[in-house]
Amino acid sequence: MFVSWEFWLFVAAVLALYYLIPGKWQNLLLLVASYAIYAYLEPSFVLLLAAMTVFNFWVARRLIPDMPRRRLYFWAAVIVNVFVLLLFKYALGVSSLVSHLLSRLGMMNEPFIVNLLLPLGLSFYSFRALAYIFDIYSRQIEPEANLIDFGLYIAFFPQIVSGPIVRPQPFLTALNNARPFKQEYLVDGLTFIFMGFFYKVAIADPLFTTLQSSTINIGALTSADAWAALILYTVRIYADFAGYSLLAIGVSVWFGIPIVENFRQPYFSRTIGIFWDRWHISLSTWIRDYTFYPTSRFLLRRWGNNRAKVIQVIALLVSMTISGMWHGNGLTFVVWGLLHGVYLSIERVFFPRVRIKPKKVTWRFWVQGAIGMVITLAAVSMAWVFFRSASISEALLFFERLFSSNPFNDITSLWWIKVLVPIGLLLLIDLPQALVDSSLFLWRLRPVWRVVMCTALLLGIFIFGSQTHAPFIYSGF
Amino acid sequence: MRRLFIQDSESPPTLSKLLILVIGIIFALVISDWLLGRFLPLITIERPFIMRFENVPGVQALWKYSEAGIKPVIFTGSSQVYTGISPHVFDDHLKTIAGQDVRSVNVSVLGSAAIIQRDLIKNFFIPYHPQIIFYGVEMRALRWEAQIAEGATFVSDFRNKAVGYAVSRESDFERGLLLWLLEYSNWARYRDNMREWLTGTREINQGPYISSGVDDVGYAPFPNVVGQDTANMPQFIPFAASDQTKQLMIDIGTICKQSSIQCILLNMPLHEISYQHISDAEESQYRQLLQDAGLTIWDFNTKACREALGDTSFINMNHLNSQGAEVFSKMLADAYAQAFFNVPIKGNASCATF
Repeated sequence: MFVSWEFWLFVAAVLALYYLIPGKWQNLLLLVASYAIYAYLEPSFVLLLAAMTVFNFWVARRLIPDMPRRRLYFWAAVIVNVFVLLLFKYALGVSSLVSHLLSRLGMMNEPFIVNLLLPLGLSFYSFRALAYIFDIYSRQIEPEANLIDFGLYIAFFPQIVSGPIVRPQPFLTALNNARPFKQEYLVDGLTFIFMGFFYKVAIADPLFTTLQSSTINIGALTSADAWAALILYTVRIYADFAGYSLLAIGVSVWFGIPIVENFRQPYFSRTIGIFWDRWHISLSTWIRDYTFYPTSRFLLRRWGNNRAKVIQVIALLVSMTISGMWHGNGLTFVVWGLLHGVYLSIERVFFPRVRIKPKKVTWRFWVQGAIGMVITLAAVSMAWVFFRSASISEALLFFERLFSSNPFNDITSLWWIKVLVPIGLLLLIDLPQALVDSSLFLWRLRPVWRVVMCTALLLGIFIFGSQTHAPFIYSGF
Repeated sequence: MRRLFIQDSESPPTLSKLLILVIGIIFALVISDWLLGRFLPLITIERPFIMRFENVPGVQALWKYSEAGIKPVIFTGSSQVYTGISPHVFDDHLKTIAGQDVRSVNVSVLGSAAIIQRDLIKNFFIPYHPQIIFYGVEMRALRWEAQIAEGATFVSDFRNKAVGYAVSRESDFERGLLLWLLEYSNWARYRDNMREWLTGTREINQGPYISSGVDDVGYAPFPNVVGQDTANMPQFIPFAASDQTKQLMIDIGTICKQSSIQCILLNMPLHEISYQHISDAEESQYRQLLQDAGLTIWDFNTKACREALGDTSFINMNHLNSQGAEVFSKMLADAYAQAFFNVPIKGNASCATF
């Protein structure tokens, strides 16, 4: 979506109209534009999107305190949203598994496979709808009275395909007010979009081509090739998704609509816990608020404080497994989520104080931080192997290739260039962003350095960009 | 250290700041482009990789002549022209027989089909206002299959590189901007070289970019080996004129006539052995396509020319060797001198029909 010029022409036209019409029509215009884009991208499932919107809007109004059968409506809403998501996401996997089991038991000769196409953005908008239901049920927000505003919350076009998964309160609050044109909107949005393009075009897309060869014949990979693939996929998935998020954020900012930061230099994290504070923030906070906390509370009520550590571990494993399953229907995603659950559990149980930053930062803290960063990065990279592989056996074969020989025997100068240049490009943004501690770091740099930085980013896009773009990884989820 | 890079206070970005930034970026790009032009020769001997198969020198010669205000004669076509016409021999012979200073360049593309030539003639050569464009045609370049099937590899190869990409753009603005950048910007010219260095595809000064066999005006001589190999015959036959190819030739003719630049179709010589395989019907359909362009045709594929060139001029059924290229370039100069300077033909160029 973000890589076609037709999309940007459309955005320009909508944006011009948006600031020309009276404020009260702005939300309707955005809703029409959002449905137009969705209908263009996914005509078969527009009705599903509309139906899910109307259903959640209707049911949410029955969740206000003192309404009869409130609890029933709540569970009905949760079940419907989750069922629709599961139906489209897992029908193929479940039917394959069931038919395999039945045929093994001799109860079925012909395997039955239900292959439903996954509606575009379903994983994202169903989680947005669930967040709305949860927040109303827990009395954090009031149900939205305006169907147009709620429809826009579900279908807002920059976020519909791959998020971020915005929360209802800030989004709906912003929609209540007219949004007159401000220079900051334009400049900030442009800055996000520029950085997003750099991530996507200069880093992620060239790596798609580089990495393709490493998935064709895994068994033939040398150890050095496998290590390069591991490192480069770690770079690519971040650049691809962070790039997408920045493009979505940039377009949203143009319309004066707040949006959450989705990535904050995650590979600089000292611990896995900190990594999850900085990676796909909108999903990880969703998982934290709507699965980790409720699971922990539920278990605490049952078992009490004496088993706090066990409860934490169970809640972490459950939450991260759900996070893995949200990404896809393969067992590989479950293993990926579970692995992160194990990482987080180890951190909570054995190193509970590792996240705490001391009041006085000494050299010891920096050394520990550097070691922690390397360990975290290695653990995250290893977990990506499952995320990327088509099956568990493929992932295990990849690990076998990683450690099949001494990689340094096959490493050449070209290997170093292939690996270090994308890392360098990533650091070009992430390092100053971390130093300045601002996603809009470009505007905090001194003017001369801002010019140098923007020129470097522009040249990066120019040199590494190509006419064709790899699909965004997360649009497949 | 931090204060060297980062401002103390944060003020909201405004459009005026953005404008200043854009101006600063343009200034930085110009300076860095100039610096790159000074720096690159220190680290590489590669030519800019803006076209495939090493025919970059012809393009660079065209730019050089254009810069000097010279209107060159352009030879273009496929490998037959690339290896069959030496601009230096042509210019020198013309000077000798007609006393005229003419500068010519060879901007040919290996595997070039008519679909490529149409883009090149229309969007690349004509804007430089050359004296004359000689398009050297052969039967295989006019097979529709050459544009869509086996030749499509060449078409996509051509369009995947900078010049081919630029000339195939529909938008005048986009095409003009890209071609201007290619001519004047070091960043644009060396983009693909840098991309390959920095993605670990190859090392600097390695690969097919070190133009060993091409001279400074785009001629790539074959070794002086004699042969009659007909391995390329499946690229020629079976031949049948198609409506699409006919339209391409009509387009090329119309483009030339509308531009007021004279284009001449050169029917390039084949070895006599080819006609043991090419039927009269196929030859006739091919010649009809040449006629369809409505342009002047210099036919050097007559029986007399094939005999005049003889066995020793060919390396295989459709390519001249270096000796053949020298003979043929002189024949062309003779014909040119007669056509444009009224110098009677003395050599064997009279074998051709005009």
